[in-house]
Amino acid sequence: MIKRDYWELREMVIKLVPRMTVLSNTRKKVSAVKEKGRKKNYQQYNLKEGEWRKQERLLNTEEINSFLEISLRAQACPMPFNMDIWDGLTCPFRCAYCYANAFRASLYTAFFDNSRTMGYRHCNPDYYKRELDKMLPSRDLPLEDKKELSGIYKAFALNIPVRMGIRFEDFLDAEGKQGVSLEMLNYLADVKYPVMINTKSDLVGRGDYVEALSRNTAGGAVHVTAITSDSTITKKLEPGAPSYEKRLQGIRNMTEAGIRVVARIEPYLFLLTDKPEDVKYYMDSMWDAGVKNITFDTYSYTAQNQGIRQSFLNAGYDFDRMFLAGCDSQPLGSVLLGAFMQLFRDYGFSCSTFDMGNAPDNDQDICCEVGDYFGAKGATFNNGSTVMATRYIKRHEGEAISWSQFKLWVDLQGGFLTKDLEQNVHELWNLGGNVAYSHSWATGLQPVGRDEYGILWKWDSKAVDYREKLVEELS
Amino acid sequence: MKINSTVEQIFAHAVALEQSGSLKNTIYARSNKVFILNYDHTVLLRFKLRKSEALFEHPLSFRANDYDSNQFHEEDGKIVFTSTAGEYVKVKKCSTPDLSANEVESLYRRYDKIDPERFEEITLDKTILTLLERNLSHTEFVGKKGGTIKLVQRNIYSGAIIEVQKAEVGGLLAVNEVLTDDIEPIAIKTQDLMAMFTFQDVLKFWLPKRGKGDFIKLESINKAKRDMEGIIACCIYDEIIEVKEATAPVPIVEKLNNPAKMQRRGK
Repeated sequence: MIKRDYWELREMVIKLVPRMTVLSNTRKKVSAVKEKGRKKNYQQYNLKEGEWRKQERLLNTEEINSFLEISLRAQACPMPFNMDIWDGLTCPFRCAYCYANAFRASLYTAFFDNSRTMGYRHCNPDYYKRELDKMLPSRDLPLEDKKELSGIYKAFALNIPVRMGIRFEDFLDAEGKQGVSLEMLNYLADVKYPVMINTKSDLVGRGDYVEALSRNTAGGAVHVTAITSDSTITKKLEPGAPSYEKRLQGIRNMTEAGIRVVARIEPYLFLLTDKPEDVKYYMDSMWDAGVKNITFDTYSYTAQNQGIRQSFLNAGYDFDRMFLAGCDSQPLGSVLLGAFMQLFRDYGFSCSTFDMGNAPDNDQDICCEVGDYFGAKGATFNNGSTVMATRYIKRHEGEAISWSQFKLWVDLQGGFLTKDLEQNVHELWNLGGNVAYSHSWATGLQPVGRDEYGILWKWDSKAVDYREKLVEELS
Repeated sequence: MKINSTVEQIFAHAVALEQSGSLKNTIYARSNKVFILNYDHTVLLRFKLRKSEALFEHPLSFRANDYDSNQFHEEDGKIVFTSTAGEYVKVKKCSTPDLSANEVESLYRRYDKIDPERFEEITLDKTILTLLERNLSHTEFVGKKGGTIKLVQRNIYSGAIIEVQKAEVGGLLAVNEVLTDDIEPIAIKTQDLMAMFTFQDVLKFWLPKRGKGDFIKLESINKAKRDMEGIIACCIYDEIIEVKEATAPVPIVEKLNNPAKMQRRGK
């Protein structure tokens, strides 16, 4: 638990990371999307055939041929089961901080000759439904048989909520007209499969969507991202997205129908999304709209991209200061976020985060703030992940916890989703692997010994908070 | 035109800074002056050519990364570099940057004339860089009246603090090393600071006194060797997140002619 309140910490960090001034305006015509150029109408002479041949690789611009997937972040994430519905070269919300846009556009323009003409494409819902129909019987298998499955088949059999809107916004205007996401929501309601949506759109508050979500007896939850209530900042950073007020209206429609709506403050942007008056209005308005749960996260390291930085500068904001304090320094970003979350907790919201430094203080095991909601309806989660490992160790405060103990607990509930995942989580347990997802960041978690499977971890509520100590040392 | 070795050296340093990632920049030349402006517009350097050196009769500008040869000219709004190898001639045409050399010179003039009463003069030499950590984002300048300037770096990843100060020789400091006023913590990006010493080993800096400015002026000590001056926009410890322009100094002429207006401005 962080001792200082957010405003005091904020003042301290202001004195550690300064803002830049410039000699003159630095607005530049730089897009966050780094598109690769491909030659048009490129032909190569084929010596064997003695003729010119057109060389091109075409993207299917009508349909995504993807299916369900387990997220690449599954080693840390308790809800890594994704369903992609819509896709496009760039999202029309044009959020300045979005690195998904940059990567997607860079990838598509690098490998395909027709990516610029693709518009929006979507999955084939008939294909999805046909394949899901085949998987339905696996939900009735005994747990021992489910344990033998792997990947998406295991996630589905274990009733892990499926998430929509992870890679791309699934509730754009085109969806409002074509209803592809709606068709999948209705299918999931029909087969009683839990679903969680991530969106910035207010479309989910429309009657037909509200109905599809609320009639799903396995649970339909919605994360509505709104990083600030300030309309100027929203307009500058999310120029194509619905206004805060529109999103609030959508939220109100859903909460009135009993849908779990979780407000999502991700990314938390130091000095940008934390103005006292905005925070106060955010809390009041979200509470009034029926939101009782909020999920948070710091900005991602992945966002360190010249185009994204320039987009912030073009909007008139100091990216370097925001990024250094709120993300690049893991301890600073984490302690700021933790104290920021405490403001919302004190108001009455239930708050959780994927940020490992704060995971022990989460109000729920599931950092998406839907554990209670889906759990009560029979869903399960990806227990074999580092967030869940942190929570497991914390629950056994004062005890030295071994990998074997954690693994046994995971196995009792269905086991790891794949063998590879088990290996990844085991590596992270022993301070290997991708350090960004390591539970060693978790405050209060300490290595206290070793056994044949690696490190023994203990959680100590009285342990010095290394993040707060760092701020004190620097001040 | 073909440039002489002094100018070529300035260009080469600018290119080296660009290519090392230390200071992405653009080069501008006009008459007897060469300007280097970095990508973020936080650093602007001005080099003055000697009387004996050839002038730039026509203003020109190009991105440091495009520099290809000491022989170049402007043609149809493009800068054209020409180089030869054996019997071959290479011609490289590049677009010019958004700002013109004239605009950059005007920008320099906005900050050029400082009121010495509002600034504190210090001298730093290149050896100080060996004591600083290149990978820490900012270097802070701080000092108390009667003391010396201290350079501070805070490692926001580990909690370490680095402080660098001039050691007293025999318990004494030279008169011009003692601060006549407080220097509030102001910072500049470490990369910007380090880049300055690419051109000169010893530099004179004018730091704004407490609350009296938000940019630093610098100049070379040995002007005979290279007449270099520069402006660096400061980094400030307040709660603003918007990117703002450094406050240009009030021209001394205006100050003398219109003291009442100056008072209203709170100067």
